[in-house]
Amino acid sequence: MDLITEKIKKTSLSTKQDRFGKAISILALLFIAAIVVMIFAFVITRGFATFTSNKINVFDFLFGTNWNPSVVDKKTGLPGVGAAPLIIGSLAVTFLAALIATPFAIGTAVFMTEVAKKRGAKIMQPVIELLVGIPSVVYGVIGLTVVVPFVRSIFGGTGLGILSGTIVLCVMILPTITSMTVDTLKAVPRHYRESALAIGATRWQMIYKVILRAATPGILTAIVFGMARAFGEALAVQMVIGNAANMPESLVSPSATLTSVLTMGIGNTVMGSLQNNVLWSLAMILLLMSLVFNILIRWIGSKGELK
Amino acid sequence: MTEEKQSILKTRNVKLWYGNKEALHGIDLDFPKKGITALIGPSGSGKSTYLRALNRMHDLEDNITVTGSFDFMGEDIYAPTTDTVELRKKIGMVFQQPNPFPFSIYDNVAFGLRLAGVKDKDVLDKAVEESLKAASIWEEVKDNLNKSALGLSGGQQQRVSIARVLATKPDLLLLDEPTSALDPVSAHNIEETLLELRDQYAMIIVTHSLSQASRISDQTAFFLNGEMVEKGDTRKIFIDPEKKETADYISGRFG
Repeated sequence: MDLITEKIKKTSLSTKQDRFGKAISILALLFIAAIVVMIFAFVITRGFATFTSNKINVFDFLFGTNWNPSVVDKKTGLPGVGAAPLIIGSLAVTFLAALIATPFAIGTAVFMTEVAKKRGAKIMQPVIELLVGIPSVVYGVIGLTVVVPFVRSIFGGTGLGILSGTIVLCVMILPTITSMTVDTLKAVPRHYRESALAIGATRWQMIYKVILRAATPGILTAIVFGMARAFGEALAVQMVIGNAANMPESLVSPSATLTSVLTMGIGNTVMGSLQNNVLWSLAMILLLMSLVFNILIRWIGSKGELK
Repeated sequence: MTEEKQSILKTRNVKLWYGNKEALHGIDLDFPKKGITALIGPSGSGKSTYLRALNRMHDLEDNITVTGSFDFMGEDIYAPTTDTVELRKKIGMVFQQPNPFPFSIYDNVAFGLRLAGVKDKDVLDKAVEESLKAASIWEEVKDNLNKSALGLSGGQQQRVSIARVLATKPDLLLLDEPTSALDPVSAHNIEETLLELRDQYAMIIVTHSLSQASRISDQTAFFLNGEMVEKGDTRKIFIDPEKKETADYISGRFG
């Protein structure tokens, strides 16, 4: 009797293995969580240095239109740290790219899932995956050698600017939005299709009155994902946007984005200087924006969950 | 039954293949203009497969072949010139899972009419009310027509699905195990609904519940392994079946 009680009370080998596995996965989780926390802490402390140690007004930073941190403005006596042109540049390329890419993405996704399922799966799927995997520098080079001259020949000027950035980004986020839309469309329950058809809907009516409507939350999520990618993309945009930190006058005048200014400038400034600190502030805006995109995605997801 | 005159649908030698595998081996069945016909049989006997052939739902799949003659009020269902959209307006279908669209109750019921191009608000209002009444759910939902149909209980959802089909005024109603996903009370409500519709519509119901078949149907056909074994008046099938397989199934000896 005692022997059995002892045996039961003793931790068995499988329980030990179970605990070991649990411990490893918790460690991995903690590691990742620690990295995320540290990145946030680092970027935010650095980013705030502009406002605390350099005494820059937050509103001057967010809404000022003169970006030239290395030169002191004679009128105000402060360096030009107005980031509005960059914020507007980033938002403009992001929204325009999403606006143009979305109809194409939805059209392609509908074709792949509803119209030509077999060909869609065979040809389009690999093409989309390939597009996702192309390094952004390649997009940038193509943008610089094809898109920029094209824009120049039509609108004149240098061809560098928001329009070129938009076109390049549009191609870059198209596969992201498309493949996520494909997943959502595939997840629309089969019985929606069947009952729409059984009630006398044509295939097209079924697609746009039932399937797209049922898939709307998923499609919105896909678009926000694409926008998050566009907002954070640096290299390809930097190559075609012109990198002039002016308020954008038109879609075809050279402009700049948060990311392009960051990548161009971060290597040329001294740690702890104002010029360096404002770049960290830009990074902070990027980080907060990606947080916003993330929250947006979760919110849409939880709101539109299909029951 | 004197079928020649009263049949709404006559099928002869219906065969169906999944790829190379023959799943239906030549089914002959007639359906009267009014009343309920029950298709019974064990799982995999082909009754649902046969039902879905009647409004060409198998068109959605790639490798399904259907042959045989389908005479629906003088028209051949599988003729190359048949417009499946028009066909499915005349032959409505209710599925096993209650499946309202993720819209409001009103939009669900008005869906079929709007597809047909009806825009007049009065016409839609009237049709929605009539259909919901016919599906005996009007009293429960009349104050919440603009709420999502997904918020209803399973039984209510199924009656909204029925109302949605009724709104397009089909000539024939196919019901594919309409109560098997519901609790007994909801199932009972659906049965009551079907009984009230019996005098106005031709209905074909696939069911696993023998008691349901015996309660609501006028005729019954028994399917087994892709064959239609026996058909006749429900009373006759359940009390005095001719074939041994039918008797065995009805008394619960297999299936």
